[in-house]
Formats: sequence, structure tokens, C-alpha cells
Amino acid sequence: MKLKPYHSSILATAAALGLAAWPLFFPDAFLYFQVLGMACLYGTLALAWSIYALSGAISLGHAAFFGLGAYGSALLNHYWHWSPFLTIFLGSLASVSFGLLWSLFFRRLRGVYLGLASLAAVEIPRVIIDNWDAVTYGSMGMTGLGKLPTLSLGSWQLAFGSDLKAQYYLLLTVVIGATILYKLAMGSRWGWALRAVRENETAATMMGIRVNRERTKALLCSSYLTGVCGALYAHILGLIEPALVFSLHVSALPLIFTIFGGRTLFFGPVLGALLLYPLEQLVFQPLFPSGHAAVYGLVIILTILFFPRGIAAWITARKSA
Amino acid sequence: MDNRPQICLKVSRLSKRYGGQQVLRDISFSLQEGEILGIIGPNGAGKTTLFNIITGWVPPSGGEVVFLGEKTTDWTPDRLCRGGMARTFQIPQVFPEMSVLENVMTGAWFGQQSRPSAAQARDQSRELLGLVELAAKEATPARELSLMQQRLLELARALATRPKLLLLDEVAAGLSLKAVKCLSNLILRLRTQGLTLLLTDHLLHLIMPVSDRLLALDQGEIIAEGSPQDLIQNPEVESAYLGVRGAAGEEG
Repeated sequence: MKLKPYHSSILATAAALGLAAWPLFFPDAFLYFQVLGMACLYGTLALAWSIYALSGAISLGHAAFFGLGAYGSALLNHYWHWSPFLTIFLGSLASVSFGLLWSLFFRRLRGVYLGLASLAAVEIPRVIIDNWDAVTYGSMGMTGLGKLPTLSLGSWQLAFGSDLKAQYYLLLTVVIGATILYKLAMGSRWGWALRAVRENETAATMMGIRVNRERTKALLCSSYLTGVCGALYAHILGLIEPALVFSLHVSALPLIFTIFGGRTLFFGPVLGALLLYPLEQLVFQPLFPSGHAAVYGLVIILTILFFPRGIAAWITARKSA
Repeated sequence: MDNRPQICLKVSRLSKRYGGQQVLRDISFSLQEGEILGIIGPNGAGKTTLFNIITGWVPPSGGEVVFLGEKTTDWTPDRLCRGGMARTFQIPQVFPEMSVLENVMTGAWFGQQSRPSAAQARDQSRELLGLVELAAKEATPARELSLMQQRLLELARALATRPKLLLLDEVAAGLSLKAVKCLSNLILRLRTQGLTLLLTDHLLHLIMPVSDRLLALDQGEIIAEGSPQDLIQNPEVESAYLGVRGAAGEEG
């Protein structure tokens, strides 16, 4: 009993429409705009992480790309006063450069070894930025970064920097765009090659697939999108510091959201972020102000024990049973 | 010149050392198009190492491999695959979560020199699954297959890359006599389609009836070469197999 592929597309489209429509009925729910907006950002981050995971690589170091994108964009904005819309895309190239180094040095590492190396890799950019006070203001970080600018479409004013509803719609658009791209990638010839690499590298090589090249392509796409997420994050907050963007938390979240949501379906990572992040922020934070992040640990344990393929696979399997 | 069969594979003075261990020494042979060459030898004779060098998994310590007129000693396995060389492994290497059909499609889609469309790849794969009699299992995940079925799947997938040369490593290991019989019929059928084959086996019941020529390997050296009938009567081959070694062969 397999779910027809278009069923999950219908489900995902319905969910996207729901997410786009609910603010029409609750135009003043600012807390929810903010929380769901961030959930969309984390959903994009989880997708970015999953692109690399499609090749079978489990990264514990995506904070490196997140932080470099954030700092790349922040520094361009700070020193040259370029618009964040430009610096977000240019600054994230810093993440891609680090991705190139990563793929060069870690090309022989697999599994747990790659995980540990990636965990350590975050320390390199973090220590450099932490100590290069003259340029990055060190561990003090930077404040007063350019907020996301306002876009004028005729009489429409989309103040992404100050209007939480506009910001929510921006982040929703980003996550929907990323999900569509991710689905297209998974269904493409390249996506098939990555799946082969993930399932059996020896066999994939034997079938003529250039394993290292395909995995590197996945890492570069993944690192760029992660950088974009970091840059968006920095400009939404308007401030940045190394401890914030190079944290283990940032590396762990996309992994948690993806495992919880389900790594086998294209909307799994986003679903995980959209369910878990609001749960943590809106339910657990008021209840347990000091230990709310522990919910992530709890959820991961329960997921692995009871739905090892994630919520998305569990829902779809039940529907078709 | 053109009337003679072309050389498909030529191996010259190939050797391999791992530290102080000489695994292969001065291996030279060639294989004509459409020929089936069997390599026999006891466990540890160097058969798999030889395969790994020819298919680009392991660099040799010396010597060279020429495939279809090109020196391929430093080619990567994926390049060799696209260039027309396919192999199977002693322990079948399947994509466990993919269906049987998807496994074969991967070969058709990525392993050929021309790039077929997904629909063409699917059609070709179905045809090959018919050939190895796995058509009924096309939707089954590969991990659920038996050893024999995984071998056949690996074979179909290797054929999907449209190879000129196919290397089968210990393809009969662990199979029943009946299964071996099926497999040898299949191999003989493939040869009629112009495929060149290189087989290894440490048991003789598959390799004997299908091979045109046999090469006996022992402790990294070719100890005999000839038709299957000649070789089976060769005393050196016999002693290598039975483990009874003359003084000259001791600690070689």
C-alpha cells in the first residue's frame, strides 16, 4: 500500500495554502506571525541541510555555513551599506567557499567520522571571527545591522523589516520556493544519483556515477541555502554575534526537524520545523521557561523510538493503510 | 587485421604489493572480443585483487591495463563503467531500499555512454529483468531478495550499463547446483550477443563449462593457461587446489 506521489503534493499544497490564508482571519496575531515566520526560516534551514543529507552525509556542522552567511552579509552591509537584499545573496558566497574547503578536506570521511569532523569544523570560522576584532568586532558582535528593506509594489508597502506580517509572508515564500526546488531536485536525474550514492556508494560508482562530484554539488547547494538562512536571520534580528550563529543549537536544529518531520518525503524537513518550533516556543516556553529547549531532546528520543521514518511517513502510511 | 577479432582487454606485467606482501606478480594476458576467460585459483590467489585493479578500484604497483585500445590503468571505476566495463562483486552490492526495477534503471540511466531518457532506461531495464527472470519482482525492495536473486539483479544492473566487457567475481559462490546451471546458460546467452566476459571462481562447476580459456592463478602468479580440459589435468593446478605443494612452491 504505497501512497501515490501526487497525494503528498496535494497535502503539501493544501498546507501551503492554509499557511498563506490564516492571517486573513487573524490580522493582529503578531506573536504567531513572528513564531511561524521563524519556523519557516528553520524549515528552509532544514531543507538546506537535507540537500546534503540526500547524498547520505549527516552533517553536525551546518552552523558554520549559517554563521558565515550571516557574517558575510552583515559585514557587506556594515562596511559598504549595501541593501540586505543584495548582501544576503552575495554574503552567502562565504558559506559556499567554506563548502568547497569542506568537500576538499572531508572527501574521504563517511558516517560518524564525517559527523565528528563537521562538528569540529564549525570552530574554525567561529574562532577566526571571534578574534578578528578589527573587522568583525569579535565576540561583542555587531548591532544595528540593516533590517530587511521595504518593497513598494504600486500602492502596496511590504515593510519586511518592521511589519511582522509582511516578514511572515516573505519567509513563507522562501520556504515554499525552497520546498519546490527540493522536490524538483529529489525527482531529477541528479536526485536519483544522490539516492544511489546514499544507498550504496560502491554500487553507485560501479554504475558510472561520479560519487564525489555529486556529493560536492549537493554540499555546495546546501551550504549556499544555509548561508542565505543565516543572512536572513541576522538581518531579521538586526544583530549578530559568534555565539549566536555558530552554536551547536543551529547545527542540531535542522537535523532534529528533519528526523522528526521525516527525511524520506520532500516536505518532511519543513513539516518538522513548522510543528516543532511553534510547539517549543508557544507551549513549552511558557510552561518551562528555563528548560524549554529540552523538548527537542525529548521529541527526538520519542521519534526515533516510535516513528523512525518521521511524522510525515507515519501520517502518509496511515492514510494509505 | 580487421578480420581478426579485436583485443578487448590487455593486461601487461601487472603487479601489486601491499607492504611486504606481493599479492600479484607479473600478470600478463589478453582477452579477445567475444571471448570468455575464466580465472581460477584457490582463496587468496589474487583473483579479486586482479579484478579490482582492472576495474580501477585499486592502483597497481606496476604494469598496465589497456581496455579497447586505451590505457586505463589510472581511470576511476565510474569512468571505466561509462567506457564500457562492468563488474559484479563477490558480495552483491545492491541499492537496498530501491526496488528491483529502480536498481537496474540506475545502471541504464548513468552507466551508458549515451544518456537515455528515464522512459528508455525503464524499458531497457524491464527487458533485462525478463532475461534474468526477475520480472515478477520488479517492485520488491532489493534488500528483500535472496542471495541468488541479488546476484541476478546485480548482473542485470551491470548489463544495463551496456558493457563491452563484463567481469563477474565469484558469481557462483554460495549458489545451489541448479542455480549455477541457470547462470551458466545465461552467461552463454550473453556471449552470443557479443559480450566479452571475465569470470573468477574458486570452484569449477560454473567456470569449467562456459569458459573458452582458463587462467590458473596461485599466490599471485599465473601457473597455467589453456583450455578447460587441458588445465584440469595440469598437475600444478591440481596441487594448488588440493593444497599439496611441491618443494619448489613452498613459501612462494
